[in-house]
Amino acid sequence: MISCKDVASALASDHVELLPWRRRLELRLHLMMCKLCSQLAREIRQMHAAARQVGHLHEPDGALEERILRNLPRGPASGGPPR
Amino acid sequence: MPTPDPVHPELLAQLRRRDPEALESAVREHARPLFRAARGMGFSDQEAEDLVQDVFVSFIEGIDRFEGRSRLGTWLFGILHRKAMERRRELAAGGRTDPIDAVFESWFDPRGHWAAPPADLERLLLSKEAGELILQCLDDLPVNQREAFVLREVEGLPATEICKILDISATHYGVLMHRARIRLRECLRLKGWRKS
Repeated sequence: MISCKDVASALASDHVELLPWRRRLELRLHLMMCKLCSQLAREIRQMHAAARQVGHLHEPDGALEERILRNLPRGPASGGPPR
Repeated sequence: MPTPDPVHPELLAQLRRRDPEALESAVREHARPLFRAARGMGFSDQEAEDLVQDVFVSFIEGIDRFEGRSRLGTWLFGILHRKAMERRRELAAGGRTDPIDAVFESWFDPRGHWAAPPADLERLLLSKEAGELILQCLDDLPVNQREAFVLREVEGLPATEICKILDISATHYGVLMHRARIRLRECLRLKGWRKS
């Protein structure tokens, strides 16, 4: 029998899809019956949606690509290793 | 999001020739996600831009090593990860134990049931300030947890790709995400209390 702690751990680890199908089924059934675990699952989805806003807060200015392109090496590849 | 396919052989040949149009297209497709990821990892605007510049310079200089079997974005994010690690000069390997694990344990009784109902963060997470609060809380995350969280939740990359970029196992990825999410949840809970 899957416990609330097992469910919370699988949800937080992003490992639900890696569980064997029988365990995944148990988890889904548990979520249907357990209000507190389904609250946590909902919060993780909401955290994901809120985290997407962080990307918008970090949007660079419109000239980033031009500055990058201006400073790239020109001419044929040297074939040297990166770093 | 960039295309999920490996790099087309023709594009690969163009990149190896340093064809200006192919390079420009690579910069236009990938510079912004790389910049956002670098900012999400805690670097300033200027540091993030320098890192992205370094990523493309390294990519061009070592282009012969890129065989085109992975997505170009995966390869570039991998370079960003290494550059970020170099830049920080930290051995952020992440210890076997983390104090946040004890917080998670405290949520449950010995039989694995909730010891007390978890704080309800729904209102906070649905508020307009949620992104800003997460950004503040990201500062409290150890570097490797922050990196995994940003690539997954902010950039929306699949877990398998993040494992390749960070060169970690699926298990290690799970540990990083688990700790990142629990730590962020605790931080948001405290901020929610302060707000109310």
